Amino acid sequence: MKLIASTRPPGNSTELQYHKLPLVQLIAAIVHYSDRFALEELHSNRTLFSYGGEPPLCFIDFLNKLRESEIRMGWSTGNMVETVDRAFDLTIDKFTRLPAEDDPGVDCRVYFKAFLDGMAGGRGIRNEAKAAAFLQGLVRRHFYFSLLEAERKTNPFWSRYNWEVKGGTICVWLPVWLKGRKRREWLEKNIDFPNPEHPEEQQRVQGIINQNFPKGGFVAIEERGWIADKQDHVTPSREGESQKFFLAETVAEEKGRNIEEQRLAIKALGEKKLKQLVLRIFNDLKNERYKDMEVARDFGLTKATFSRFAGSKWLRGKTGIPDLWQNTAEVLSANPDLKEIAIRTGVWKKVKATLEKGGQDNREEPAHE
Amino acid sequence: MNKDLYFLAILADALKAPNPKEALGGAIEEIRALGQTPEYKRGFSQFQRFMEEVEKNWRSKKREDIAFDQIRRLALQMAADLPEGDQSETKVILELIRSEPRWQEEFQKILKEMSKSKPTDRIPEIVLERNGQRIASIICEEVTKEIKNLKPGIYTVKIDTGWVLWQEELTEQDLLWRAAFQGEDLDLAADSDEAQAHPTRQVSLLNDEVIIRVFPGAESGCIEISIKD
Repeated sequence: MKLIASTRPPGNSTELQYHKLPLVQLIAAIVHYSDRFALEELHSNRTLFSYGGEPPLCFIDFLNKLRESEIRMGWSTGNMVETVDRAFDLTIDKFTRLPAEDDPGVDCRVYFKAFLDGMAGGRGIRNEAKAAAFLQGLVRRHFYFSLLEAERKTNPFWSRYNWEVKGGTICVWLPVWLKGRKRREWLEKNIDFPNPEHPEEQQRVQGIINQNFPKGGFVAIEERGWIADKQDHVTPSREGESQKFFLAETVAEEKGRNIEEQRLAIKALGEKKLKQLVLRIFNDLKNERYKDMEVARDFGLTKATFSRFAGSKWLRGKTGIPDLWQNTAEVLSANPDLKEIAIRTGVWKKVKATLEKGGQDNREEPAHE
Repeated sequence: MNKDLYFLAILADALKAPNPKEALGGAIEEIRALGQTPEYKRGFSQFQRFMEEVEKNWRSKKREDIAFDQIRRLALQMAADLPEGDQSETKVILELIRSEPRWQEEFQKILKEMSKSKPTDRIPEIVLERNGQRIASIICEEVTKEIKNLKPGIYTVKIDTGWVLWQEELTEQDLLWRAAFQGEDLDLAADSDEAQAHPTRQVSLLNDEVIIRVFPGAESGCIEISIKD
């Protein structure tokens, strides 16, 4: 890889003492001279960042704190650690990467230039502290921005688009349903005065896009249908990610773990026996020999108890779906493959129609395809 | 096959297949096809009822997840100084936050966690190091501080952000009276105000914002750091 030639500020260049340069001068050396020594001094020796009252931190340690904090708080959808790690890597690139001639990519000089542009003149210790705080704000903001960007990357409903405008390119994320030249048309209509030269332009444009196409758009669920549409956030399920899922074992584990919540007679079985019971039921179903009464007898349960637990004829019953099948439904509701297939095959629509019609009568006479 | 629960065995098998997604497609078709025959009619109705239950769980989980992620996203947008999305969407999220104490609590928790990384107006410190080891620090307010009992070594004065203001080797000539002022009366001078008038070094930094003076002593030296606010 051919690196962009690193130069040093003029003057006594070979003897330049980087450790004695105030922050603004150090960053100016990076921006104006692609000075790798200045970059190294900045990241190796400068403890510019504060976090929660702890002693000052260098860039990478601060970024690690942000990463750990995000993981601690957690996201409920998608691969959270992967998303946070991606944001972490993106932010590192933004503040450390000097591009090569044959591999332009992210250029830290763009982000450091934003720092220089934002810093007014000034000297001395107070100004150094002010500069450190300003850089921290910039890094922090870019980490959170990278997080939103990384999260968008893991969303199958958005894709990248390189908008070529005014002799430059602005790379943005757009909903996948906005296709082809419609993308350019939309951008031209909605983005005023695009300036690909401006270091923060991508953020500005993405911000306007976000305003118009809120990702995963939250609306009160009770007021909307739940069939996936273009804005629904279905957990990504990409090629190669589809994984085997052992239903019987998962339900057995779940039941065993929540034994305290079971009806008394079931609880009395104990965790181990309860798991055996669940596995036996699924096994008998698989082997086409499931008979309620036989299983009930083998585990010392009464007909009524077993019926409420795992009865096979519950459609007309007053007690609703037996506990085990309710629990199975709960486990399956977390399976993204089933959800995707159910949506794709139209099963959800049928279910939704049933729900909307409501009433027991409808359940008695299923709507066949 | 148990005709009332036939769908469970089919679904369980498909989920265990090498490619579950593909297998599930086939499984659904099989459940539907069997469901059209009279003997599986009730089982198919139970399948539909079962899927209602799956959907209810999914919807309930989805609502919680979406709410949580949207609250997080709003907090992130605020932290990244980005426009806060669709105004009506923001309104809904804020209403959601206001509507339930647990979401208020969640939002506050997120903001509190994020606030840890906010830059502060902290007053920097000046750090004195000897041979790379920190030996003293001073808050950068208008103050003069003496650091005593200093032996020869490489001394560094820097801001706690890492910016080095001054770095020199101090020898016996700097720190010990007998070496610095040969022939002068050690006891008299070292213990009197006269000693204060005889620094071996005086350095003015940052337009007199920081003044460093080095004084020799009988057994060890002293550095005086004056900060002008």
